[in-house]
Amino acid sequence: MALLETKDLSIHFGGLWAVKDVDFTIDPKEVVGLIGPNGSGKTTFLNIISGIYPASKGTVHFRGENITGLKPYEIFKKGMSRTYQASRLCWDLSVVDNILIGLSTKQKAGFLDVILRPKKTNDEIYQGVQECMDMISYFNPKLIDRRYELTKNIPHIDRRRIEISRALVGHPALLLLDEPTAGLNDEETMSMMEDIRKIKEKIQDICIIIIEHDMKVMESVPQRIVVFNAGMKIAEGLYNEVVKDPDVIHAYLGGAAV
Amino acid sequence: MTDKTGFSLKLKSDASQRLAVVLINVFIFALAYAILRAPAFVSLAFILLVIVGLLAADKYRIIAWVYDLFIRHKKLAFTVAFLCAMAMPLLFAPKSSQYIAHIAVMACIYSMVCLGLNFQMGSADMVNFAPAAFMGIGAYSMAVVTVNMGLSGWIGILAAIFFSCTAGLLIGLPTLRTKGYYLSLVTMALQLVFTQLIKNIPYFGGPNGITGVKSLSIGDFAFYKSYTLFGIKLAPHVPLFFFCLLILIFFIYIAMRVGVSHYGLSLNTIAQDEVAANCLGINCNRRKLFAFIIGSIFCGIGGALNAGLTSFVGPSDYTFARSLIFICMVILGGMDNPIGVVVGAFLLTVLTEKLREFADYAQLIYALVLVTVLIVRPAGLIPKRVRNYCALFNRKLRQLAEPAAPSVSEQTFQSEN
Repeated sequence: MALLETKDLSIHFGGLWAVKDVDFTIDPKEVVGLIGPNGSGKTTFLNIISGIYPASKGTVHFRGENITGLKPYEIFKKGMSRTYQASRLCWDLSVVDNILIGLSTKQKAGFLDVILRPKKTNDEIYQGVQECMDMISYFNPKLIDRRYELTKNIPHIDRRRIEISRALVGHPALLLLDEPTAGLNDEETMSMMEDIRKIKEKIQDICIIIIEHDMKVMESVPQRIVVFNAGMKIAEGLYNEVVKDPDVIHAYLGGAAV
Repeated sequence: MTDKTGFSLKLKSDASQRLAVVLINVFIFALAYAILRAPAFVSLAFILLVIVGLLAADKYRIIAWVYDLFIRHKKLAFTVAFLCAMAMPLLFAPKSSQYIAHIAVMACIYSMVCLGLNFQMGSADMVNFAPAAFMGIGAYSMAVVTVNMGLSGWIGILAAIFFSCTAGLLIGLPTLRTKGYYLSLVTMALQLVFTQLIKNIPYFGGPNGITGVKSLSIGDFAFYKSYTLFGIKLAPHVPLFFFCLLILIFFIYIAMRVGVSHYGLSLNTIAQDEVAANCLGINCNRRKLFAFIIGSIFCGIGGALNAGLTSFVGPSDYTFARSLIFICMVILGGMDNPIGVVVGAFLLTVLTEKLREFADYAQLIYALVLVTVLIVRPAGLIPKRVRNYCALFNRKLRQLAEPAAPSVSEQTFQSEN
């Protein structure tokens, strides 16, 4: 059974179909890359499946459940988490706090527990902080020393790592990475690629959807590539096949190149 | 975070640290007492000194240093602070210092309201322009229950909690659909509606308000009554002052615990980025309602106590202008820091009261202080602090020998341990 399955998924903003009739499936343990020119609807597609935008048409099934129309926080609880093209970290919170937010659904302490703080609540917070530290040290051990620094003082690549840690710390089944290498230089892109591979090593069952413009990343990381253009899925397959697809070349380079 | 200008007085031994905790505590309370007690201009000078001192103290990390020290000796710091606070009412015991006792009780009540407002404004960044309305709801519940119905003040308090909670829910619900300025506008409108409504309902006494609100009492022991102790005639505020202080301490405790928990964290996240919060499994609407309800309960209890203090409720006490003062207190003290909020509320309450004789200049000085502080440090006198989980689990971490070296900022102290 597919982990995530969309049928005829569409959304329109006014008269523009930003995503139109997309049928997309991802199987357990798979890593899929989404590519496409700017404005082709990749991020919008992620926004629909993570619940930020309501779909105009079509359905999304996640782990066999229909999640169309659910709120983002409900979808997160079902095991889907994501990162963003532009970091959406809380700049005025420390590194550890930023990651700890990812655990807020796992923390069961009620209001009275929070006030009286019995041992189980203390343990829960303690466990949470430890998990966060383990997660971030897996990507960059140096960040442990900076755990109480505000995220606005942290370099860009580490912010990306914090964001990924935040998404991972709640043990999602599906991770959506929206341009994890945006704004990174070549060297940093390489280490980010390495980090994404490390995610897969650490949590083997996890499914990942990556949106990326960098072809080096796309060539090596995902097992399968899906190409979007003008809101529609135009090609799907292995990297080597996809880049030779005339439709894809047309979409990227325009008519003259064909 | 790596600058070396931080103040670090190295207190090696445990005993010297404990002594420092006691001395700092006593100093803080002595200063508060001096500010309350001194005549207008001396008091004003003290207030300005405290403000300048706090601004300088933060620059040289003294506030962080004191925080570390207090967290390290949490139990001792709390006990000493509690004893000092409890000694305060006795210092205002003689009947001659009635007015000063009145200011002190007011400062407590305003601190409660500001702590309530802080949940919305400080933690969740929802600038609520209606704290005075919530306070008014509490005060009017108290007045109606004790005067119109003739019941005891305790039922009045319960009614205040119930009605302010309901009001928080009802006002919170429509504001959930709005954000930022629009949310502020909605609350502003509700504040104005509240004042007009109260003025026009005869049952609530109209513009004249309700007089003769009973204060709390346990059996024959009234909370607002002059008692004679060891031959000294006490100010009538003393029992109420004790009660208000206890409630205030309880509220500070709740605010701090909520602040450090996942409730506070999710409110902070919502404040910074609602979409991200939503995508991280935080039910934003529920959390915002939580902030509204707990905040309005704090305000409502403050209002009920205020009604008992002045034995009068009137629409003029719970106007938009009063709401603005509460907002100023929170901003001055430091948003999202319960201690800062209480300091801000205390300073501004005393400032307003002390300058009552010079009412023409009071607003000017008030504004000057606020503008200056906001220019020098927008985060307030005692800014928000990073949640320090290391301090939370000091003992545990030592046992487990946490691999990480303690970080620079919060642990000027940890390294000597």
